[in-house]
Amino acid sequence: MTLTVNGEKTELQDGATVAQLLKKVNTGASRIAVLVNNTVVKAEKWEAFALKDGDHVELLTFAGGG
Amino acid sequence: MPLSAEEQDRYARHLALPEIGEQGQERLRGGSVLVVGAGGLGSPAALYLAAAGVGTLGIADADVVETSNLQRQLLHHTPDVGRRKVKSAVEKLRALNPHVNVRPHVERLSPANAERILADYHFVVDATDNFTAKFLIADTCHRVRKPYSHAGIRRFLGQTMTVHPGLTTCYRCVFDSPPEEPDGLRPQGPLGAVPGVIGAIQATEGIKYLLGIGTPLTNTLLVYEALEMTFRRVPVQRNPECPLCGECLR
Repeated sequence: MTLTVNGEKTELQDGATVAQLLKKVNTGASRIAVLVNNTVVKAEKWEAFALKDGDHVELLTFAGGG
Repeated sequence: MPLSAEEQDRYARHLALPEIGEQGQERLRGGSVLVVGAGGLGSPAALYLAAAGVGTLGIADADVVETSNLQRQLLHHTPDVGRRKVKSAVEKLRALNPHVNVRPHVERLSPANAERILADYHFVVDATDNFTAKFLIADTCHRVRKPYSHAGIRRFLGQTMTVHPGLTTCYRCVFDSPPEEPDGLRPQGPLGAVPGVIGAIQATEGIKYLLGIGTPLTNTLLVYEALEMTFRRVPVQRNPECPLCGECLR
């Protein structure tokens, strides 16, 4: 399936979960917030939340500096 | 009170803009903004707010200037190392624009003092450098319905969003609570010019708010990635499960 992740087209296996997407894009170091189609998906739901073709995903880094 | 000859000269570039003009400049003069943090974000934000002629500019910071600040905190110069940031900031801001009432708040924002400090201002700029302060500002501004500009910096990344509490997406709608282990002990960057860009945007949002012009950066997280030089407007809608403002939607 094709998703948009942070504005870019990304291919993922059908039915992949948020957790699987995160493993693939390897955001690694810092905590992030995940939005799917403008709705926040809390961390405890990432393993179970299945993505669909055409979903818009935003991975937003927690940025605490200034 | 009409603008003096010096003010007409000083603000000539504003007066030439139909969106501002003399009336707008007088509105700015009647406005008040609090900048919380006199560091990487606070320096450009406060400098641009003062230069624009905001009538009252509060600066809140409890820290002392350190050498490593000089890489990005443009309010402070080499001879200021060891001085209170607020004292250093107030001096430079008053020298830049003597018409501005620059009010020092030599204190760290806490649940005990936040409401009192914010009360007198029309708009708040979150120019803090830690999650505790960012969440405190978000929570306090929501409680007293004070509009604010949120911002956060990390490495080469800058984010900012304007919030009209009770009406538009708030900080906790997106980032619900502070992370347990923020990036370990060693500071990671930032590249100095990154808060420079974001702080100037925060000042712009404060000025637009006081003037009532343009479209506020609400319900939108502006994400700036300096390495790729991309700016993205990420739509962020109000969250009915937001621990802070969700009740306003239900």
